[in-house]
Amino acid sequence: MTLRTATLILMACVLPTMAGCPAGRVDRRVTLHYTDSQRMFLVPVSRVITTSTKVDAALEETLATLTEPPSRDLRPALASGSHVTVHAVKGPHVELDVTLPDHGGGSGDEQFMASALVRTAATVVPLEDVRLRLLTPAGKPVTGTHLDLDRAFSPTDPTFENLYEGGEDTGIAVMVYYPLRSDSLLTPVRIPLASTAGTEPVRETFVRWHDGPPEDLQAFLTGARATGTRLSWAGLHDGEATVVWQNAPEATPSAIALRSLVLTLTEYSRVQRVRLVSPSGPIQARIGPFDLGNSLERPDEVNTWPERAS
Amino acid sequence: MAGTRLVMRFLSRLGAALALLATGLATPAVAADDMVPIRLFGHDPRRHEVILDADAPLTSRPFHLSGPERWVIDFPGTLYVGARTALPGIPGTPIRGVRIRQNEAVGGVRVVFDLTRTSEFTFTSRPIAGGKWRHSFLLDPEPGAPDDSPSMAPTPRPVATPRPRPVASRIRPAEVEKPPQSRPERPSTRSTQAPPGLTLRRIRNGWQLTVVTSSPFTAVVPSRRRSERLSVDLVGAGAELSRDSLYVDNGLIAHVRVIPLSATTHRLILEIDRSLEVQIQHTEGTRQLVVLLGSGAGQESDEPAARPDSLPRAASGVPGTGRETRGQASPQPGRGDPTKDSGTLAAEARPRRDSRARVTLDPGHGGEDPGTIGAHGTREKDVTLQMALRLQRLMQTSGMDVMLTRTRDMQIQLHPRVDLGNAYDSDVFISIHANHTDDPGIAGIETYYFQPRSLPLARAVHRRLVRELGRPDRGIRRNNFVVVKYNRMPAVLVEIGYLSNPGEEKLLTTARYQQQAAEAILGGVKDYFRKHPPGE
Repeated sequence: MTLRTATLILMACVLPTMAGCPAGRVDRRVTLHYTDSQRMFLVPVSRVITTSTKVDAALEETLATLTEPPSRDLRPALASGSHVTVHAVKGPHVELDVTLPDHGGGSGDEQFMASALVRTAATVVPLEDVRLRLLTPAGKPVTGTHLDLDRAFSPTDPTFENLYEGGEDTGIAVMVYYPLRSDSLLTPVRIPLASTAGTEPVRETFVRWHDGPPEDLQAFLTGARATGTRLSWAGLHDGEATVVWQNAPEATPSAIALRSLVLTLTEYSRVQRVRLVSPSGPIQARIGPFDLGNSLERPDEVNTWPERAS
Repeated sequence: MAGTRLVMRFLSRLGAALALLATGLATPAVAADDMVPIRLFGHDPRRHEVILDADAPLTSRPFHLSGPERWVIDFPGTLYVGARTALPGIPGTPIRGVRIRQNEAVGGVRVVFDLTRTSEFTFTSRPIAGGKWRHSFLLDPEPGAPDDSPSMAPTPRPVATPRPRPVASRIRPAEVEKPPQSRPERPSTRSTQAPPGLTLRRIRNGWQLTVVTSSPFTAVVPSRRRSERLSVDLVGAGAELSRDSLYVDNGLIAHVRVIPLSATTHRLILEIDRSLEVQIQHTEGTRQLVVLLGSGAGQESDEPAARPDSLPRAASGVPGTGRETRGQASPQPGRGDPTKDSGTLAAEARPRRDSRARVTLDPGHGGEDPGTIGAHGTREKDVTLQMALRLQRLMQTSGMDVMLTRTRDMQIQLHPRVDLGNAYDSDVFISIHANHTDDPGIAGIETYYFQPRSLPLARAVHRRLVRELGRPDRGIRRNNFVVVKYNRMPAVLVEIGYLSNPGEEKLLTTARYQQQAAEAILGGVKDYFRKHPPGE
């Protein structure tokens, strides 16, 4: 191959790429936040979007997508017709102006909106806190709000988590990932364990996952196990949690069940991997992205953007 | 002391290793590869022995604790697969009961002997049939009890191989150290053996949080801090702390979490009740930080001699020893005039004259702020005021003192509502609202709180509302709302229905539903006061 031929081939490859990716644009992997269809939980969905390389423009472009959820299982946390403008970015402190076409006045919706904006923004740029101003289309402050807008919100604000408070338990609150009723998306719910579970939180967390959501959440969430699959806790050692798949391979756990299991157990820093074992010997199976012949590691994302958005 | 005389030859690691070589490790498919299963936990009444049967000889770590008297024996690298978790007291011995649990901190099984008095015990390991090993604990008999048990039990069914031999150890309290979990984990070289992570446990009148990292660090309290949030930066801490567990409230602590700020710095954040006293203990260059939380946290620890190590003063928001005193975290003052109209509201700060319960009711919205509006034009501000007036009458009839943040259609900002409740020295604060969302199919009851100490009130009121109104239960949530955030007393915001739902809008305008809702809230407050008497 001559130098000229090589140059031509190189230009043929590079030029179309440059044309499709104008200067000042960049692909970002962000996590967007919506609510479930019943407005009970905040649901994270990750995707790659192309935005400006400028921070304020990237924030505005990303936050604009919160008005359009990817599926009918989700609802926008930011009302349709809303508009987000970056007022200022001062180091790790971001100030957003949110213009609302019609503020319905619901307190829960307000909280979801703030949660989605702040948590999503934190996946676009590293930030410490976000201050929100809610404005009418005329640019005046919205009246009748409930949120503490005098203070900036941290993306790690615990009130932004899906926290279950319905039971009596007052022990460690652990994050359990349950599928929505549509069985296609997971949502993390923080659930307190019994105070007596102090010595075995990982096993107790497995039990919570295994038994499915608390009764009063079962209208909104479902258990992660596929029907008929029998899983039991074996132990934790050297960073690896071991779960026994009692009736392998007759009844197979779904990929979303495995994803929820691994996400749930690896919430503990001392659990790096999850291994499924069978009483009858090694497991050689592949379920979705999971090769059960090996230990399973934590997925990078809770939910990924569906390929075909509705 | 004669009662604690010792004759001990404790199972050494070397002995265990030799025995392991002799018998081999039998590991079931269900366990991690190198975890030794303990299959049986029981009591041999004839010998007064407590027994553990395992697939291999075990290495044990005994600890003696007093107050109450007990032996704690850890078996690292083991997995309990049996069903029984406790044994009752054994007559003729000082054993009041025996418990067995898998313990993640130990990385194996922990057995606890609850005793009536200080006592020694003999620990014996011997091979039995099936390649198993029996481990026996024989405690000294009570004085006067018939001593029919040998000090070292004979091997009942020895296996054929001559190499594995019974190993007996006699153990007394003075020879072992206490486990790290039994005391406040002040920085020391011993405590650095603990695995990285967070542990939270009760101490006498509060809680003790221990953070152990994989490498030494320096603790710095960021200068900017909020009264209900305590942050400590662990500079130089190892990376294992990322994504570590978060704990939830029991009335005092809402959340504890660790957030990685960089590869070498982690931030510990505690969301706590503002009234908590906090004491931080850390020695620079060690792997451990201890936070004592509670009223008189420093005095309440298991080990009062624990020395509070100062944090860097320049950056510390915790003065001196890192102790925060009650009342420092005053709520934000009200901003501007509490009432936008002519100030018809009188918020009198009056002293307590009796033990009558004092309640502040806050009808949401008002004046130029109608709140949400239903499809048929129902305004939230009207429903909330009607509800509050009904509830006020009910509560007064029940002997409570009640103040409303507004008694007519007037606008009042959020912070002044809180200030009114604080000035009134209320026992509880209840904000009444009606909800809205863009889906008219959504309906039900929600209850919000912010401060951890408000959760019991939220639970009490929410349960009554859901049960007595028969509406969908949409849960109790911790939210960032002003009217439940800066209160000096437990405070909740109740959403008694959705005006965006046509059915509930109709209900919310009826006297019957409003009366039921008022009675439910009253019932919830009474339930709460039964467990948390007013004035306390």
